Amino acid sequence: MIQHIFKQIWAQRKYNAWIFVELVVIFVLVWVMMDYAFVLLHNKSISQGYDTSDTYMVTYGMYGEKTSRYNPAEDNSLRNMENLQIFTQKIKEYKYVEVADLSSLLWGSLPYSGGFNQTAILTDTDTTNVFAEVKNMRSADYFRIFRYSSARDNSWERLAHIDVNQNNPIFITRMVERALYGKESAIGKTIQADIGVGVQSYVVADVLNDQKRFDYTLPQGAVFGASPSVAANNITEFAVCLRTEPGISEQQFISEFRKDMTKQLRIGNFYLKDIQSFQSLKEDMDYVFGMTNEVRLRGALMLFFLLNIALGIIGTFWFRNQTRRSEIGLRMAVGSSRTMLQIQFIVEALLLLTIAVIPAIAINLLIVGADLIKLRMDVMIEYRTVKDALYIIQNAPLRFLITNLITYVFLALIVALSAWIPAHRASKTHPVDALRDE
Amino acid sequence: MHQRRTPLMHYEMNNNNKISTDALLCVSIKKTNQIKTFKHQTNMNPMIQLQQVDKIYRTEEIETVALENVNLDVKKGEFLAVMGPSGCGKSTLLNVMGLLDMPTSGKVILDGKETFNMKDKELAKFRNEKLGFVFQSFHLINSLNVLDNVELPLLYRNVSASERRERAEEVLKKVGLSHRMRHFPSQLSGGQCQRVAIARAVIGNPFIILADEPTGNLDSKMGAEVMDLLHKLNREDGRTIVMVTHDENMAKETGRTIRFLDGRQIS
Repeated sequence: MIQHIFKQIWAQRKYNAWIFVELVVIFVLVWVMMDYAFVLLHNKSISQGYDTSDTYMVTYGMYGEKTSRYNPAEDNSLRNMENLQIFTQKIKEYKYVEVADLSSLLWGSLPYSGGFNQTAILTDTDTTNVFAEVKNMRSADYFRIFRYSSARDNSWERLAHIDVNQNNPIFITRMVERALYGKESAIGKTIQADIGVGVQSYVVADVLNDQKRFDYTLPQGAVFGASPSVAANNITEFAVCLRTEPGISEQQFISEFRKDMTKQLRIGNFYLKDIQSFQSLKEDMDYVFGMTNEVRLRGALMLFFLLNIALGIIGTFWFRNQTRRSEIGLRMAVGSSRTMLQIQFIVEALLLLTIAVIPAIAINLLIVGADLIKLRMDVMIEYRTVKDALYIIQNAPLRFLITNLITYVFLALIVALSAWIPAHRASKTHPVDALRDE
Repeated sequence: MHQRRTPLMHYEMNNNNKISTDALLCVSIKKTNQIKTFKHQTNMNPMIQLQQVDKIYRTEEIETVALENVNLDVKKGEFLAVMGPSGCGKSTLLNVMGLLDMPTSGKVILDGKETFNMKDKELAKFRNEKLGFVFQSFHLINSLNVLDNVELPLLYRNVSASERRERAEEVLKKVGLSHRMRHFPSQLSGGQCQRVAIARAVIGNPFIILADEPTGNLDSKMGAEVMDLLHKLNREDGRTIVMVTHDENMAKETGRTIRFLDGRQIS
């Protein structure tokens, strides 16, 4: 049967040439779309690396001299430090709060802060710099609040018991470990980095699961270390981060917190400025960085484009098979069953597509070779293979293979549907009705 | 409101006084070779039996009766001509016999098998193995060459490519087209196309050949060639042939002729 179909394709080569060219062009265009969509969805599917559900950021302000609530007696470094401690303690003791701690607002240490601080990391044995994002924390409660977890056992509980202010421990993510040591473990090894207090040596205490800043980007390597302490001169550069017990709605918690704590948190010159969930901070950041609109716009355009392509293919094959109703009638007259007929038309269309895929893939290779596709969804990935890559999209041949395969399957489904519908409709009639269409 | 249309109502008398085909056959047989032929008829099972067959085409507003209460037996090895004016239901009769169309009511029994309850696969198998069609407009697939067109019925019988080729060449030789095997239908004359169609109809050794005005699109010389071929298939291979024709002379050459008018068999 396949041979018979090939013969027919060849015999109709002049007509099929147009469909062939159309399929080649469509395959290349759809592949570009699919590659983009694949990278987006692949990145989206990767875990964030931390958990911001039930987490909130409480920011505080200090009354200035010109405000009526200003208390000059409380405005000295000692009192301010004491009052901030009370402020934090009161939040820790508030109902629903599971854990709370002061965290630095600077250097992008908090999730969705929008800030970004990078350091070069060096090992004892290699002078090549590896760059990583710096995350500062005051205590291991940081792990408890945001649930950053160890890559070894996915546990955050164990990390939460480590004293981060003793023996200069540092935590690196899997990506940094891979970049520094390949497939060797980094735990216990010494690295040099500047996490806010100048270049120092640190001992890798644990390797954390990868973390990412945005939903649609690949994780970025990061190092976590103890931040500079709170001092009189940087007292306004912190905020209290907290995690509530699970099951408390954001609206309920914020409303009750404001109601109960606004007065209670007027301590010295400190006052409660704002409370915001990290989920809403994420929405704000996505919006400010244009991620939300960009993804929506590109997604909509892609859907529109793919829908048009699908309709175009359906139209082409519909017309092609519609003009062959008489042939359908004849084939049924000489002994083809309806199912057989539909299969034959589907196989014929799929063969046409498969033949078109060969030059289309060659064109796609040229596109990649000419560096025409640069997906800036992640700065590291521009169709080049990263050694010991952790993620599929960092493996250029694999990514190329998968995206072409997805494109083929997608188009095969459309082509099969396009061939099936008219063949199905024609074969549903009596053979004599189809024969009359000559 | 449905309007039942029987275009020539004044022929009712004919309808009421219709003589069954069997009876007609008996009468004609008695006239010629009474004892021998009668014996022959009773001993043979019909290859095609139509019992009280109606075919009505319905649209939202109109109802057209294409066949009405048709009862017909065609014996094995018989060459039957079906005649009548255009639109009288001749082709519909052939299509119903050939399972290309379903009757609205009545029974179609082919080779002793009731076809009404047959499923699509069974119908396809039956058409493939027992029936061969020759159409007025040939119905060849233009994108396939002569050999591939002729091979078509065997393709659906899972016959190997080499055997298909061998049998197609053999049958094309029989119809005198062995020198045109690689040609495409567009490169052949009408007569040649019809010979290809006949070759396609017989390649699967069907019991029954249904020919719908096989000479309708051909000049008299080519028409005669095609008729010779059909007679040869009937005489030498013993195939049952039902042929629709407008040509009285061609009908006379067949074993029996039946006539239709407005969907009814009138003789």
